[in-house]
Amino acid sequence: MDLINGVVGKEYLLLGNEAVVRGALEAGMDIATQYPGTPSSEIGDTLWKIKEDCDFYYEYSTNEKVSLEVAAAAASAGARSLAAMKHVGLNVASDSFMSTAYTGVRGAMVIVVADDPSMHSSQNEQDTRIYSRLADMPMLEPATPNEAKEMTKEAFELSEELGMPVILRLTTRISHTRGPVSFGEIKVPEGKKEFISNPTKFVPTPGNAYHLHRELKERIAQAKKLSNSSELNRVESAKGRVGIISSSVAAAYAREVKEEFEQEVSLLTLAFSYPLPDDLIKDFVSDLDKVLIVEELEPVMEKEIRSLLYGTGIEVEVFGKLSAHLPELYEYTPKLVREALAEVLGVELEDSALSTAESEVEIPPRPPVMCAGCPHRHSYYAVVKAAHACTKGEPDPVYTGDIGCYTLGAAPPFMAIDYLLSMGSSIGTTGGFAEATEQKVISFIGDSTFFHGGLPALVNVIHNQHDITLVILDNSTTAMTGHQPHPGAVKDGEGASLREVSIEDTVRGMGVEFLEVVDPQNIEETEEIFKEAIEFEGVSVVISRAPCILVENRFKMERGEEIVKCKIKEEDCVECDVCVQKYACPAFYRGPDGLAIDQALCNGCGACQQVCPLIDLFGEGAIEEEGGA
Amino acid sequence: METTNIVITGVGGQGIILVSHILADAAKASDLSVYVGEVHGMAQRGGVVHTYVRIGDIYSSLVPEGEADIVLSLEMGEAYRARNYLNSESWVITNQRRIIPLSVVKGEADYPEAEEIEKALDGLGERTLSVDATKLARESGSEIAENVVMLGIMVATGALPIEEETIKEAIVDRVKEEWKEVNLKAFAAGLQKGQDLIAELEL
Ligand SMILES: Cc1ncc(C[n+]2csc(CCOP(=O)(O)OP(=O)(O)O)c2C)c(N)n1
Ligand code: SF4
Repeated sequence: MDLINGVVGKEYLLLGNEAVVRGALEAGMDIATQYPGTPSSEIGDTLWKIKEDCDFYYEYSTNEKVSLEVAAAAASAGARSLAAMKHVGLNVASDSFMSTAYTGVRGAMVIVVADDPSMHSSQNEQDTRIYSRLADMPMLEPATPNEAKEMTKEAFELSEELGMPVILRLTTRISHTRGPVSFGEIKVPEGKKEFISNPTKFVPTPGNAYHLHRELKERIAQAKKLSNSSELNRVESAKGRVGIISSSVAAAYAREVKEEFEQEVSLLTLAFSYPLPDDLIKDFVSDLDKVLIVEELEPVMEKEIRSLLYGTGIEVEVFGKLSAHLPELYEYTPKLVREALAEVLGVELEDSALSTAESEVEIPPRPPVMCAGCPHRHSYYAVVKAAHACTKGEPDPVYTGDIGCYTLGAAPPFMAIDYLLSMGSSIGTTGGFAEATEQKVISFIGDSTFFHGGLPALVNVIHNQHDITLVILDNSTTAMTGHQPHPGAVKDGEGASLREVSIEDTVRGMGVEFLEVVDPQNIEETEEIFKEAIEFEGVSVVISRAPCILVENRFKMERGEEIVKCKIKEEDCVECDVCVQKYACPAFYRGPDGLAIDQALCNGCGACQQVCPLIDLFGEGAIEEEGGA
Repeated sequence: METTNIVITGVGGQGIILVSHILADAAKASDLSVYVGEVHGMAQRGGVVHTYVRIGDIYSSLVPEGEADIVLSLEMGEAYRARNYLNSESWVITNQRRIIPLSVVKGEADYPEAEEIEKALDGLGERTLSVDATKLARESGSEIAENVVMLGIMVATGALPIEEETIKEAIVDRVKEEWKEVNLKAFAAGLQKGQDLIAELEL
C-alpha cells in the first residue's frame, strides 16, 4: 500500500483524509482514536486498515467524547495522539475538549475536526472555528491534501511546543479531495511512556482551574506570536492595491481566481488561523485600499479583522460577508469567489454558463433510499403496520428517530420519524412526548448509535418509567459512515483484542422488563412482537437484528456463495402495488409486462415474499435470463 | 497551463468513483497536476452522485457551474440534471440508460422518455454524444463495464490532455485481474463508438 510503502520524496494521489494519516505517521504518532462521521471517517478507516503493519495504537471509540478522552490521557502521559471527528462530534466531545485546553498535554495532541459546509451528510453546518475561540485552542486550516499532510505534522510540533492540543480543521472539500501529496520520512513511535502525576495541572478543581485559565491565556499569547511569524501564513504580494485574506479551501479558490484578473491582487493565506496573526494582517493591509475576506460559513475572521483594524488609522476598506459580497451559507465555489472579487475590483464578468432557465424536460429528484434488501425496511414495514393496528381510533403515535441509514425511514412510505435532534436523541426525547401527550411513543435507534449516545437516555427512560417502545435496529455495523465495527459488532478475526458487548445483556442489566429479539427478515413474526411491545405499559425494547445486506452479501461473495435473487411471477401479478407503495423496495420497476424486479439491484433478501406471495426466489438461471449482472 | 474540468455523474453504485480514479491515475502518470472531488456518505444510497476531476494548474477539486469541459453521465436524466455545469463549448457524453427513481415507479412523478431527454440534451449544445454504453459493455463481456465504455468515448473527444495508452494502463492497474480483458474491450468499444459519433457531428 502506497500510504505506508510509498517512496520518500515522491508524489502520490491521496484523499485529504488519507493525507492526514500520512502526516501523522511522519510525525511519529503513538495513539489515534475516532468515532466515524462523514466527512472525517476515512481517517479512522485508513488507520484501522494499516494498524497491523504499523506501530501505533488505533481504536474506534464508542463516541467522540470517549475518543477525545483516550487521546487526551495518552498525550498527558507524553504520547503523540490524534482524535478525529466530524464537526458535530465535537459537540459530543466538547465538555472534555474545553478542559483539555486548561490542562494542556505533556506530549502532543491533534484534534482533527471536519466541517461540512452545505451539509452534504450532516444535520447542520456549524463552524468549528468558533470552538477554537471558545476553548482558546490553536487551529490550523489546510486548503489541499498536501497541506493536510504537512499541517498534521506541523500540528504535532506546535502542540508539543505549546503544551496543549491543536485543532486541525478540515472541510468536506478537503477531506474528500484526492490530490498530489509529497511523501516525507515516516517516524517510528518511540514506545511506551510513563505518566508523571501532576494534579495541579491535570485535575481542574476550581482552585487549580483558577490558575490553569491564566496559564491558558499565556499559552495562547505565545501562540499568537508563533502565528505572526509562522511560515504557514503565506503572503503572496502583488503590485495592485486590492488584496484577499482567506483560509481553508476558500484560499485555494482565491489563489486560482485572482490570476484571472488584469489587476494584480495580493493574497494572505491564513493556515495558522487561530490565534489570528494580528501584526501580519495589519502589515498586509496597510499597503492596500481594499481587502476582501474570503472564508466559508461564519464571518469569523472578518469580524476579528474589522475589530483589529478599528482605531488603528489604517485606511483599508474591508469587504466580505458583512458587506454582503459573500454569503454566510453553504460552501463556496471558485465562481462565487471570482464574482465577489470582480465586484470589489469593479470588473464586469461574462457569464459562461448556459442559460437553461427554460427546462425542456423535468428530471424528478432522486433522493437516497435504503438499499434493496435493507433489514431496516423490514423493521419499519412491520412497526408501521403494528402501530397502525394498535392505535386505531387514537391519535397517531409519535415516532422519535435517530441518525444512520435508518434515518431514511423518515421518507414515505414509512414516515416513521417525527422528531430528531442528534445522535441518541431518539431515546432521550421519548420522555418528553410520553409525559406531554397521551400518544404512544415509538423510538428507533441504530446499534452503533445506541452505544454512542443511547445508553444514558435509556437509563433515564427506565428510571423515570416512561411508557415507550424502543426499537434497536441492530444490523451489526455502523453502516451509514462506511460499515465500521462498533462495541456490539466485532467481525471475524478482530476478536483477539476486542470484546463484543451484548446489547441484550446491557438492556436487561438496566432492568427492562419487556425485551424481545426479533429477526426482521421474518416480517410477520416481527409485526406480532411489535404489537405486544406497543401494547405493553412501561418501557418495552425490541432488538430487531439482521445484518446489513451489503456487508452480508460481501461476505457471501468472499465465501463463493450464490446470491439468489427474487422475481415476480409476472403472469399472476395483479398490480396491487403493495410492493412499491407500502414496502418501497427500490429493486421494483414497471417493465413492459408490468411490475418486475431489477436483477442487478435485488440483493436477494427474499423478505418481499412475505409482502406479496407472488414473489419467488430463483437461482442463477433466472438472473442470466434477465441479462443482469 | 490550461485546466480541464470534468464532471462525472450518475446514480450511486454505477462505478463513478472508479472512472474518476482511473482518470486521475492517468493524469498523474502523465505528470499532470490533478485533483478529484469525491462523494462519500449519504449520497451513495441510490442518490445522485457527482465527482469532479480537474487537471491543470489548480489547487482545488470543485468544478464551478458553467465551467465543465466535459460532463460524463452514466445515466441519461442525470446528464440533463447536470446542465448547470455546461457552457457553449462543453462536451456532454451520456449513457442512454435510464434508472427510474422509486417515486416514478410509485406513480408520484414522471420520468421523461429517452427520446425526450435526448432532444433536450441536443438543445444544450453542439457537442452531445449519447450512447448505449450498457449494451456495448454487455457485448464486451459485462454490463458492469459501462463506466469504462464511457471512458473510451471521453478519450475519443480528444478533450483530455492524456494519451490513450496511459488511460489503458490506468484501467489495467485499477481493475481485478479477471476483469482486465473485459474492461479493455469495453474501453476499445467506447473509443470506436465515440470516434464514429464525432465523425457525424460536423463540428
Ligand atoms: C455526533 C455525531 N457523530 C457521528 C455522526 C455520523 N454518523 C451518522 S449516523 C452514524 C452511525 C450509524 O450507525 P448505526 O446507528 O449503527 O446505524 P446504521 O447506519 O448502521 O443503520 C454516524 C456515526 C453524527 N451524525 N453525529
Ligand atoms: S448500507 Fe446496509 S443498513 Fe444502509 S441502507 Fe444499505 S442495506 Fe441498509
